Amino acid sequence: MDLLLGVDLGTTACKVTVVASDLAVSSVSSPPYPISAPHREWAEQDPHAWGAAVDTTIQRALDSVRAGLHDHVTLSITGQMHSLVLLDFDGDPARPAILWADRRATAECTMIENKVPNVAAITGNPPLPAFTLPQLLWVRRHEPDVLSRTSHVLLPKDYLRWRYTGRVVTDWTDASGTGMLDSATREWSTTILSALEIDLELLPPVADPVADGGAVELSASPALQGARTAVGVGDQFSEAISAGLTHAGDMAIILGTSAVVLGVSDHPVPGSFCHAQSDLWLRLDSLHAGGKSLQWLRDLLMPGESLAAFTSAARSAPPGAHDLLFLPFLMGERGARGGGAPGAFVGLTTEHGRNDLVRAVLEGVAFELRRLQQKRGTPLPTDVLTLKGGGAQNELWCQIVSGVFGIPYRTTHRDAAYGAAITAGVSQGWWPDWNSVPGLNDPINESGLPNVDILNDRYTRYCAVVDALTPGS
Amino acid sequence: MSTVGIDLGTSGVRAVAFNDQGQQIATAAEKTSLKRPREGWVVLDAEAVLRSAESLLASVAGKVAGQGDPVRAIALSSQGEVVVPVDREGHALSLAPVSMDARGEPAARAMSERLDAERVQHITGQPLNRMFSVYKIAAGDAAWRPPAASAYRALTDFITVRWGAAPAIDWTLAARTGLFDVDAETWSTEMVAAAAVNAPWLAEVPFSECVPSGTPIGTVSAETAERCGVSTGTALVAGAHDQAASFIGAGGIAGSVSTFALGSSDCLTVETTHRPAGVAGTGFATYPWRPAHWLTLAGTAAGGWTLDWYVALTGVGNADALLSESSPEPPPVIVLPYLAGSGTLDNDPSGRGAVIGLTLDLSRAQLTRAFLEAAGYELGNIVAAFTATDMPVGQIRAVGAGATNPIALGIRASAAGVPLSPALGNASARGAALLAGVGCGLFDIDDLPSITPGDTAYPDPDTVAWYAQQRQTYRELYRVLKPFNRRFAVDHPSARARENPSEATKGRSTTHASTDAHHDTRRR
Repeated sequence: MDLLLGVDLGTTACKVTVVASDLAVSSVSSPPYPISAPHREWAEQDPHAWGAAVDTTIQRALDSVRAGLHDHVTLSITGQMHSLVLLDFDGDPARPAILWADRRATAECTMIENKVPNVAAITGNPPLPAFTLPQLLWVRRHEPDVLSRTSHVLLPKDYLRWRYTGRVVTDWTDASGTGMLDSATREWSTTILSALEIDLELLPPVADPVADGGAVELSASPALQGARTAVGVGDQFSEAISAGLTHAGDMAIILGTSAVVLGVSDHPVPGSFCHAQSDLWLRLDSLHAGGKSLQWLRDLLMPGESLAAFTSAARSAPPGAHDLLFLPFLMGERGARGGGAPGAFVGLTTEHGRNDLVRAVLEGVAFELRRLQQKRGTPLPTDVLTLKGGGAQNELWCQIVSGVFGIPYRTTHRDAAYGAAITAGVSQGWWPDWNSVPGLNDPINESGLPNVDILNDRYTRYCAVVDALTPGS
Repeated sequence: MSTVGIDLGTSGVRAVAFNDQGQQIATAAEKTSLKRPREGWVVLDAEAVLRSAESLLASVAGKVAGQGDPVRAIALSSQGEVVVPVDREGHALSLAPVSMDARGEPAARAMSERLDAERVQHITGQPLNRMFSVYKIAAGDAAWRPPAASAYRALTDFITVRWGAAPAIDWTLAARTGLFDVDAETWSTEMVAAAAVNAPWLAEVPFSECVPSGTPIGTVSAETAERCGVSTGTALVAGAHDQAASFIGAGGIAGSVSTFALGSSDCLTVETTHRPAGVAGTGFATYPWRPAHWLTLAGTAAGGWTLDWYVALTGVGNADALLSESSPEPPPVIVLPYLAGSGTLDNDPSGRGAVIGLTLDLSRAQLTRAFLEAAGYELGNIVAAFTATDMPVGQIRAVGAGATNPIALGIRASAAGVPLSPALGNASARGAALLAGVGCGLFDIDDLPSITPGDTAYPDPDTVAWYAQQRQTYRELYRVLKPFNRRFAVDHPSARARENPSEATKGRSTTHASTDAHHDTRRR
C-alpha cells in the first residue's frame, strides 16, 4: 500500500494525517506540549518535546491504518514558521526554540533596518520580532556562548526531518519567513548576511519543497524506516495548498488560534513570502489573537463554559453588535513596532449584553483581517473566499467574515497536515503539480452577503477607531 | 420621639427612622424595578413607589412606636429628574421616566437652538442635558398634556401631596427639573417660555411651589395615618435631592467636608456659601438647598450602574466577593465608565464606555480592579476641576452602597489620589430625617447631629505617580474617542427607534441584560 504521511508541528500540538492511494484520510493528534514564558513576552519550546510528540503520533497514525513493513510510505513535515532552532555540534538543541510568538527581539529589528535599509525590498517583509533573523541576532548578543556552540540554524520542520534523515535542508517557503531570503531569487541574501555578519555556513541549503528530503534512517517505527521524505513547506503554505490556493488571486482565511489571510500573487510584492510553487508568492497577513480572542473572553466572563455554547450567544445579537467595536490586539498589533493600537472594547453602554460582546469579538477579528488585507493591497478574489480552521466550523463567524469582505465563502476541513501529505504526494509524482490534486473545491455559500452594508459601515468606523487609538497617529 | 427619612432611589425605596440624637433606630427597604418599554426609555411606576413608601413607613413606624419613639415628622429624599404627570386627584397618568431615559434628546437639542447652553446653565444652575425633566415632558403624549394632566410632580411631591401636604417641591429637586431659576429661587418664566415653544403644555400645566429643604409643607391626613401607622397630623417636611440629602446626612460642611455618593451614579457634592463662579460652561450642576448654602455636584451618571453591569456580565452572584478579589496591583487596562453618557466634566450624553489595553494575560481580578479604578479616575479629575474653580473640597466622605466594601473603596481612593472616609448608614435617608427634624423644630439646622465616619482609605503611596499618569491617560482616551461616540449615538437603536418603532422592538427582544438583573447584584 502506498501511503502519504503529512505531519503538522503546531504551536500547541502536532497532527499526523495519512492519505492512502485511494485518497482515504485518517488523522491523529498529539496531546498538547507546553510553551514556556520565562520572561514577559518570551515564548519558548523544547524541541525534544516536539520530537517525542511527533514520534508517538506518527506511530499511532500508522497503527490506525495498520501500516506495516511492506507499505511504501512518503513523509512530509510542515510546521510553525519563523521559530528558531539552534543545533549544536553534537546534534542537540543548543537552547530551547524561540517561537514566532516571542516578542523579545524588538531592538534587533531596529538594528536590521539600520544596517540593511532595503531589507523589506529584498525579503518582502520588514523585520519583525516573530522572524528567525532578529531572534538569531538576539541570541548572538545575549547568549554568545550558545551561538558559539551552534552548528546549524534550523526551522522546526527541518529540525524534525533532520532527526529522521540526518539531512540539513530547508525549503524556500519556510526560508522566506526567516527574514534572510531573497524573495526574488529564492536564495539566501548575501547582502543581508554580510551586513549583519552572519555565517552562511550556519544556514541550511534552500530547496524546492517537493525535492527529496532524504530517507528515514532513524525511527522507532518499522513502517517509517527507509521512507522517503519531501523537503516540505511551512505551515501557512501547507494550509494554502490544502485550501487549493494555487492560482494568482486566490484567497483563504484561516480562523485558528491566530487568524491569517492568505493571498496568492504571481510576482513578489510587499508582504509576500515565496509560495511552494516556484512562480507564485503568498501574502500572509496575520492577527495573533483570532480564535484566541474568543477563548480569552470566555475565560474572563464564563470560565468553564464550552466555547461553542459561549459563542452561540452571538447569534442573538444583531449585525454591528449594537455599535460595539472590539479591537483584537490582545497580543499587540502584529507588525506594529512602537506599540500599535491596544486591545479594546469601544462603544459600551449598559444596554450591551454578553451576546453583543461575543458578536463584537467575531466582527472585530473579521474587521482586522480585512484591514490587514487592505493595508497590504492584497487583491480580493471575485468568486469565493475559502475559510479554514476551527473557527470555520462556526457558521455565524463564516457569515460575518464573508459579509465583511463582501464575497461568498466556502469552508474546508482540510488543514496543514493534509497539505503536507499532498506535498509528499507531489514529491512522489502522484500528481504532476498541486493544481492537479483532486477534491480541493467545496460548495459556495452566500448566506453572509445580506449584511454587507451594515458591516461595511462598521468596518469604516473600526478603522477610524484603530487609527485614533494608535500611538502617534 | 423620632423622625423618618424615606429615600426614593433608583434601585429601591428605604425608610429609616432616627432618634433625636440622629441615630438610626429602625429601617425597612424594598427593591423597585425599572422598566424599558422602548429602546432608550427607562421608567418606573410612581404608584408602585408610593405603595412601597407607605408599606415601609408602616413597618418603620410600627418598630419605633414599640420602642417608645413615635414618628413626629417625615421627609423624603429622591433621585432627581424623575417626573410624572398627575390628574386632579394626584394620581399618576403615565409611567415616570427616570434620569437615564433618553427621550428628552430632541427637546434638549431644540432648547440649545433657542437659548444657548450657557444661558440655560446661568438660569437653572444645571448644564443643558436631556436627562432633566423638562425635556422628557416635552416628549410627552396626551397623558402629559391638558386636559388629562393637571400637574407635574417629582416623586417627593407626588407622594407628599397624596399624604396630605400642599403641593410643594424643595429647591434641590426643583433644580433637577431643569426649569428652576436658582438665583430667583422660583420657576424660571424664561425657561418655561423657551420650552413651551415646541411643547405648549409646559406653560399650561403647573409644578408645585418651590421651598427650601426643611420647610414644613403640611401634615399627614387621617387616611394616610391609618394606612401607615403614624399619627394624624404628623409633620410632612420638604426633603431634598438624594445627593443633597446624602451631603446633609453625612455631615457635609462648606469648605471642609464633602461627600462622594457611590450609588447608581457616582457624585461628588461640595458646599459653598454662595453661588460658585467659574462653573459656567462645565457640566457641574449647582443649586441652593437653603439660603446661602449652595451645593455643586459632579460625577458620572452611570458610575455605579456601570459596575453593576460588569458584575452582571460576569455572572458572579456574589458581587462583594468579586470586588474583594480585585487585583492588588494596578493593571495596565483603563475603563471609561461612560456606559450611559459621559461624566459631568464633559456633559456629553452621547458618551460611551470603553475598556482599553486588553491583553491576553489580563485576569478577571485585574479587570474588576480597572472598573473600580474608573470611578477613582473620574473623582480625581473632578476634585482637580473643583480645585481649579476655587471650590475647596476638603475631606471626602463616601456614602451609598459603593462605600461599604473597604477593598473597593481603597482602590478608588488610590486611583483618585484622594483619601475617602466611609460614612455608612443610609446617608440620604438620614439627611431627609434630619430635615424632617428641622421642619418640626426638633433640630437646629445650623447644628445638626454629627456622624462619625469609618476608617479612612488612603491612596497607596507606592502608586501615586502611576495613578497620576493614568488619570491623565484616562482623560486623553476620552478625548480621542469622543468623536466616535457622537456617531454611535446617531446610529444607536434608541435614535433609530424614534424614526422606526418596529426597529426598536426588534432590538429589545433580542439583546441586553435586564436592568433588574443589574440592580439585584448591587453591593459594592
